[in-house]
Amino acid sequence: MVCTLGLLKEFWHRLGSPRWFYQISGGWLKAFSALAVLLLVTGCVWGLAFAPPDYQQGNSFRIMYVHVPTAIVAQSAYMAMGAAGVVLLVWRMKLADMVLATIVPFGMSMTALALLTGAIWGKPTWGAWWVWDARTTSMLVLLFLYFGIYALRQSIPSQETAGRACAVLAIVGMINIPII
Amino acid sequence: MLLKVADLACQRDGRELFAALAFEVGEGECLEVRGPNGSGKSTLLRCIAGLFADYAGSVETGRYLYLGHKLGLNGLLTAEQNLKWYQGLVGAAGSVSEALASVGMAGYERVSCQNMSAGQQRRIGLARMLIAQAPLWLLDEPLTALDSAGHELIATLIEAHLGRRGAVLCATHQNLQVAGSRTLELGT
Amino acid sequence: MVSEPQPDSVSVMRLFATQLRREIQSTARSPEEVINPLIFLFLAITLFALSIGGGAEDLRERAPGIIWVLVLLANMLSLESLFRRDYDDGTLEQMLLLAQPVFVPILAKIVAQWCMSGLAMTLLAPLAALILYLPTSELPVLLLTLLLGTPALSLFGAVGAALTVGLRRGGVLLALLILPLYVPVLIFGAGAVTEHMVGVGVDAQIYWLLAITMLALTVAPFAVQAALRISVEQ
Repeated sequence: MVCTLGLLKEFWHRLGSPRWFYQISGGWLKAFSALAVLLLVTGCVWGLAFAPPDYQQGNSFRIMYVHVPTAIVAQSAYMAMGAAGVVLLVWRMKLADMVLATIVPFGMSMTALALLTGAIWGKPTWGAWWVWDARTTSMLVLLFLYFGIYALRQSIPSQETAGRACAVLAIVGMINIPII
Repeated sequence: MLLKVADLACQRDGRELFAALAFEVGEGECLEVRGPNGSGKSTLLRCIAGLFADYAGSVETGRYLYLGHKLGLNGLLTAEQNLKWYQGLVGAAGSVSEALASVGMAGYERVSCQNMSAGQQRRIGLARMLIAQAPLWLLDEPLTALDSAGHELIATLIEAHLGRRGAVLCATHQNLQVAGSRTLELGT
Repeated sequence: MVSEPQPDSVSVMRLFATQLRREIQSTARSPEEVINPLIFLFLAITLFALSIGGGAEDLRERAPGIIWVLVLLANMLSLESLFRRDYDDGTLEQMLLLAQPVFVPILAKIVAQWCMSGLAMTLLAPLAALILYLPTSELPVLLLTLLLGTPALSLFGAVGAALTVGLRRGGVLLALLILPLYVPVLIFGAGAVTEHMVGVGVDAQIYWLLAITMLALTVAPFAVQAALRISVEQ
């Protein structure tokens, strides 16, 4: 038991070292890329082509197979960013800074995609491209939060300071997640 | 030992300012940090004061007062209002007028700081070292804008502080004229 | 020795009062920092009243939204100067170094800023309602939502102000950072008055506003403290 805890602690601290992470992530990258391509292709083909049409919405419902995952990922990415922010501020790991920086454009595009596919679904279903209800509005707010973090990062010249400032902003923005 | 610095390395804007810096300042000691412009004197002081985070190494220190480039005085307020704020901040009591008199600014209680010259403002800034007591003083170029009377004032205040078993770490171009002070050269 | 050795810790009340007194003194000497945003508020309301051509009916419907959005924007104007003066003259770093606990003077600054913007706007809201033909029966709800919502605006706004105080042209970036955080307050605040105008109960919105403000009160001072340290260390 104590042994496991010790191992975990060591792993945690090792993980914080960019050099070590760079070495092992090379291998992980290959494995994860292959898995990702496989799952994405399977999911898209299955959902967009093979799944039966919905009894009420017909074929327009297929976009849900893209919309829901992107929305889930957008929110999870933000929570991961918040967690990375906490790690950066508390443990001062440089790796957490890199995680935060990488998630921002990724989360931004996922949110934009979620909003776009949601609008595509909304037109046949609701008859309107956009409605201002609580969920759609808070997804839009999520997109603006991503923009804000991106803008803040760009405007602070020092890398380290920018990372920490974005961490604070990411953590404060977590308030929005439960509202979605 | 009021200040202990070990293995301090710091870089700013991608330029390495100093590396593996180590020194100690004990009670009754005054250490002057010298070096050309841009050698990192101010940054060193800010690292020690906790106002600059991008450094490696260890800094051990107790309570201190930091007097930097920015004076820490609200220009709109009078000398008295500024010093009373410092009193409230650290929970000190005592007479603001006496503190002002000690730095040669008696009678300036009700003058707005923005209506004073740079040298006068610096003296008000020094007055707060007398109001908020702390064993270690971190001074960044305290002689700036002061005339020769001001230089003497600084030397007197520092010597009095050292006599009270305090310590002073001071970044300066010019000689402080404090007896028994050591020197640390940066940028060599 | 010109002052006695200080006690180990300052009482929180004394620390709060010291900072509050300083804010009042400082504002008294530069009142335009307070007055200009309020003038902006009424100028902008007038612009809306002039541009929305139609009569009382059109303005009345849109009044809650207009008032709330402009309160948001005017608040943002007054937030820019929350920490800037102290940052420029070095008082901010002294506050961070000397005050224990640091969040007390920070909270005092935010409270002072709220009094001079949010609270002032709440007190002037009846005048705004008059210009936009909002019926007096809606005034209590309007005032209540403003009273409960503007503290959250000041608190969240302080986080943005703290993050951008070290930047040269932080103005627009400040807006970009805090408007997303303002959106829930806007939705509940304006929504409450609009719903009340058509006779629907607004308890939910009021409670939401209260909850958001309470959450902001717990979280914001510490976020501001962290952000100020980051800004000062640049």
